[in-house]
Amino acid sequence: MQGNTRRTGVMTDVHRRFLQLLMTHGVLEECDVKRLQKHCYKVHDCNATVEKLEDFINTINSVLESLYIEIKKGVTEDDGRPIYALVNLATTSVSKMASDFAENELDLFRKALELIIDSDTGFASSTNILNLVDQLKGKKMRKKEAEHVLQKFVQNKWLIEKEGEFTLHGRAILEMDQYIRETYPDAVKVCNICRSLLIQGQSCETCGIRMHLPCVAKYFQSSSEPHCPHCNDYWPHEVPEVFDPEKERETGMSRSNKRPSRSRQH
Amino acid sequence: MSGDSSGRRPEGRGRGRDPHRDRTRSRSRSRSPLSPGSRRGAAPERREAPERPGLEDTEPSDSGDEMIDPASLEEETDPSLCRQIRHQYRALINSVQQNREDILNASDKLTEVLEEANTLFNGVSRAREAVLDAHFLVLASDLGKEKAKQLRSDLNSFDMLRYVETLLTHMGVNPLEAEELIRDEDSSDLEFIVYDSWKISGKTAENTFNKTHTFHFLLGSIQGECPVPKPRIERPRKVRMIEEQQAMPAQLKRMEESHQEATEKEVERILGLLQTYFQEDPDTPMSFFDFVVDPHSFPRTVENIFHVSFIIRDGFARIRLDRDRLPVIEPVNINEESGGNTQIRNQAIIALSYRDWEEIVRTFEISEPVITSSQSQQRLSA
Repeated sequence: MQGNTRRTGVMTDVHRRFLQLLMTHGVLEECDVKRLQKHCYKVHDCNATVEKLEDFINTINSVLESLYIEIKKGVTEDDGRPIYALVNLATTSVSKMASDFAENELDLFRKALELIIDSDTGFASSTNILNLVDQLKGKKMRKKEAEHVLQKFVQNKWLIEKEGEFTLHGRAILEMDQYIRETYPDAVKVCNICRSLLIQGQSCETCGIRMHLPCVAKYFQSSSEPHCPHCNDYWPHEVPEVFDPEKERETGMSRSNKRPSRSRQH
Repeated sequence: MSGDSSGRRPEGRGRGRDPHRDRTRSRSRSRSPLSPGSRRGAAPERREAPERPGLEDTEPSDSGDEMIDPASLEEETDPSLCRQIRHQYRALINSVQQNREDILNASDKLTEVLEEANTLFNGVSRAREAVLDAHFLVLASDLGKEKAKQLRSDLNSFDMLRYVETLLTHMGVNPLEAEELIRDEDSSDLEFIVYDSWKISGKTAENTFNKTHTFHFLLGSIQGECPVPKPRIERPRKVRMIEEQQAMPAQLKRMEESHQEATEKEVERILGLLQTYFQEDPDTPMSFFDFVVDPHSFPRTVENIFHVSFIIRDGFARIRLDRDRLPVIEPVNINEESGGNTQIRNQAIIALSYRDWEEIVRTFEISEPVITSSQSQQRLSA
């Protein structure tokens, strides 16, 4: 921490614009973050020396610290893309009231969160979540409405939907990490490699330890025959590929080309 | 009598401290236009006496002198002057009352009369005149209130024509031209102009709505009420039980699409079946599984559940749990239905996997389907 604080620069309009952009998006992938950083420098101060992204964010965080807000870096649980999210760190009387969601909507999220945490796979099916709608606190919610609310959570990047099943978005994990650990101390799962919170991942069928997919990828990167790091038994799952930003850029190009046509269909 | 003695006493005391007394006297003299000498002469001894010791005891303050001023002034004022002031006040009030409308409409008439009253008040020295001034003030504030009311109602009213005109001008459309275009009924031309022009007004309005995003978060708000640990103990078990049966909704949907037209007929047929079974044996409830499960075909089973769901929804039959907590199905009589309408409707989603189906067939020893497929029935009847 000492090293960080020494290197932090002065907060300028470049930083402020960047922070506003991140506020708008909530969570961004690293490539987008770098693009936005460049953009902010272009708008405000072309001649300023571009800070390294890490230092740039440290500068902003040093100011946000007193507000209990932070820009946190993490990786997506499925494919290990680095992401940055602006997260709230504290629960205050003000933060309790300043919510984008109604009481019953928050309760639905809480219920979904419970199902996700309790599940083995890190996913909760929409069927199971919707069947809990009758138990919600606050205003009554119909199943149809609940479906909408779930979609709203997906849109706001708190949940991810995959084939009718929901899991937590990286943004939610970054922000709720502490809350999840404190609220579900018995049900919470931890990655054997990075020791951080695990929602979805692979587990050893012999000893039951769990690992994030990106951690699995890195750990078994060079070994042809993967073995469990805990019990040394054979690792029965498919080892995913390590995330490579270079490769991502190529596929990303083709993906962004496809995107407009897809959205038009909807 | 006591007044007299107290009046004399300070005098004696004062004499003993001459230099100091002189200093206060000279100071009060320079401030007050009324010299102590003349005042003493004008005011009766009785009135002055209680004031004096106060003055002498608290020493340097000369406020005591001023406290007496109004009383002495009253004695001094000229009764004719007072009468004149009263007369002027009454005239002013009268004229304001009569010209009420004028004052309300003119912009600064009210200020003028207020200033007039202010100059009159300079000459006021007695309560009697001051009361008249207060009268006038009440009247003036009444008028002021009315004026303020007028002002506000002006702001509130919305002149639509004026608004449209201003808007059109802002959008670069001459209102007169636009009117002509409407008269010409050359609507396509008008639409074109208006459509393009909307963009201009849109751009202006944009700035008002261009709000920056605020900070969005879940953590602080969700923590509001922590879930009680109690329900958590039950849940994992429950969840794991349901977890084995999954990924069903998609299949149901496809069914709905392909059999859209046939569904209605099929539902009626199944309801007929259910009712015939109960006519034959009205006392024994039928197990829901016995009714819907087709031991030879998983898709048929799903289809049956789908069709039965319509019967339940429309209130022709109901599902309840028997003594063993197993679901049973029974038709609802039409007479009974009217009374049962008030019953609260429940909605539930049933998930059924291939494994579950196999298990149900095994557990309930279902060998023959109750709901025969429509094709096979047709074959039989033919």
